[in-house]
Amino acid sequence: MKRFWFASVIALVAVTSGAIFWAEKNFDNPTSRTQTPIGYWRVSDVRKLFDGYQKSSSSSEIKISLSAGVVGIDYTVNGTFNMFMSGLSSFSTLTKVGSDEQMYFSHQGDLFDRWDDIYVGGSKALIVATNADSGKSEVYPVVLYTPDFDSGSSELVFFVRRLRDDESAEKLINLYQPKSPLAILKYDESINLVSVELWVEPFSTDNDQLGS
Amino acid sequence: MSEFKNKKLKSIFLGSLLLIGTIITLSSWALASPPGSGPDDEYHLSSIWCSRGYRIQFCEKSSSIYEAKVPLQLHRNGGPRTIFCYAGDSKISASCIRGLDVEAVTKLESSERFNTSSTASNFYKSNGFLVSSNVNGSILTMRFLQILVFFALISFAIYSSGDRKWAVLLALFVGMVPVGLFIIPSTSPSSWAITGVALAGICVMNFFISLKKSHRVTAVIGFIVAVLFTRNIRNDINIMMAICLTLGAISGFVTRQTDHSLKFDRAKIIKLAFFAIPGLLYIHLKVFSLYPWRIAKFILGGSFYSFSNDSSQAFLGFLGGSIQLGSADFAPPPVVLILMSVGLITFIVITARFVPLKVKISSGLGLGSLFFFSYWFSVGSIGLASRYIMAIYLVSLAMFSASAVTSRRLANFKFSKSSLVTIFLTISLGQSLSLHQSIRRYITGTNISGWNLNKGAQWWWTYGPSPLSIWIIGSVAFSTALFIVLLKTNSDRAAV
Repeated sequence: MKRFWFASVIALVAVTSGAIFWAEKNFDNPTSRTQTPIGYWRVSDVRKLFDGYQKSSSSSEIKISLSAGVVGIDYTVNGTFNMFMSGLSSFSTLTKVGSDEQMYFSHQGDLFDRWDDIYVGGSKALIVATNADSGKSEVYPVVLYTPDFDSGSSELVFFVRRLRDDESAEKLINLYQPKSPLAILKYDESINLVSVELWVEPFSTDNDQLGS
Repeated sequence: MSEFKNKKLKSIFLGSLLLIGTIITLSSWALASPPGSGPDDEYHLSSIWCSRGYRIQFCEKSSSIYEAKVPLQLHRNGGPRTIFCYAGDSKISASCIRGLDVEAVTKLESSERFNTSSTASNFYKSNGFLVSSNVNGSILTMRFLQILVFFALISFAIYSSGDRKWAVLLALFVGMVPVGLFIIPSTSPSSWAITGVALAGICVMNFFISLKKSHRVTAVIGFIVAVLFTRNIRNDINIMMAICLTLGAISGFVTRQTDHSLKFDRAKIIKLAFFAIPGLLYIHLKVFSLYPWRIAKFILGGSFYSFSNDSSQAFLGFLGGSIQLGSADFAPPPVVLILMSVGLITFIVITARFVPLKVKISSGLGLGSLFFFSYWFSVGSIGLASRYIMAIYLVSLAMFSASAVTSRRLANFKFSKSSLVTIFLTISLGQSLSLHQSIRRYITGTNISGWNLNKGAQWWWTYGPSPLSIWIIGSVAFSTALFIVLLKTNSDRAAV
């Protein structure tokens, strides 16, 4: 009798495991391809959300990242490029430096309206992408300013410039640790990039421009 | 000595397996439906979101003092831009949740549909701790909190039942499929109401029946915990509690456990008459105004249709025979009603031979009251749903089953193999088919058929096993747990 029960249990476990293995192997989750923004963006909320409501709480450094399917960078004049991001993710990811605390914000709100107030003189950033022509992964250290939506919330335009000689991307590279080699935007040239990640330098929640 | 040790080890092993099986079953049900699929979830979720006051992103001040801003996706009038976008039409899947636009997910809109009273505030506040920016993740975590609360509460009922624990468990297994399995891991306060009130009724019964001090102490603690948990959880909770306590008290007073045999304790019955009846009459007549002539007038003056149709629908709901699951737009397949009816009848018939007449009468009164209260609710403004009266159903079944174990005829008692097989097959198949239909409703809509739930799925959670795996795991886990309960109920009784 004991043998019968033992065999039955083994058979049940084997059949169930096999069925589950087969089911998992043959399942294409329709939701896994959906990126859902969580929360909404309002610059004045950032400090409260990350630092809490206590006035005595210490300030945080917040880094922003965006992703886009395709990016075109075109040279304009006076060392300035026009960066056109299309297939923009529906949200920006804000991460507290030194912790895993992460929030996702939809682009509704005033983040891009107040970008130049928060990052006076522009924000240093790394454009991590695959060059559409060469197929190589590259990292471009740049300075971004004056973002604006082109049409709808999935197309964003930045003015971009190269880092000056007295500016360094070392802090950003240490923070994000990109794995691809660094590249430099060439004047008078246009490039097309795909699978783009835009990693922006952190800002402090002590920034007066965030409001109270 | 070694035989004793072996027996104990076997019990611990089977007990652990039963616990794991039940946890997996309830977890499968928690994953079987999308966020917002619980009954009246737009109200409950808004109440949870606002339960801890104004908070950025979750619940913000509105221009009107009677309203608060809650995320648009939780808004009653948000229509297709909410997580309830699939509700009302069982032929469409929950895929619309994936298509919610950014504004629907992130914008806050004024709403007056949230709790501002003390009703269910403990439930809302406890769940309010789990609110986060990730709405789907928060709701899923809340469902698992409800499972945790269920096990914490029901453990008092099981321990205080002593030798009757397997009988009580069998009653719960028979009574919970399918509505209980859906409601317990949901964001509806009915989850706590059903568990808490059933616990209170069983604890009262155990307190009077048990001889062992530790069982009686546990019953008292369980009763206090149940009362605290369910206090004010629903508008009708006091009356449900009164009915279940009455049933538990009657069952406990008329039976006395004397080393596995039952005696009607006349002394206790006299005590009951002396102490309990005035108290119970006061609760029923003075507090709830349940005067016999008022009840008669109410029934005669009300709608005959409600009595003959709606009350029956509520009862059929327990067995999966009416629209009581999820977004209230689908029912399990009709075969579930047939299976569950056969399972319930078999359970009652084989147990009834060993149940004392007085318990049969009190259980019958409990089950009969289900029809009256269904009628009362359907005529009243509260509306009708099986979950409102489910605790009475569970307590009635538990007292019926438990009294069979303490019966004097126990020495001759043993389930026949055919009865065991019938209960096992009907209840486990009923559970499995209900779970399948519940998943099917949300991943493709009910107009698509087929056993393979992975095929053509249009919605699923971003994490966890696939729909087909959840169905397989949930079905096997429940069947294993039920098998253990039947085995132990039978062997424990047969060993006496």
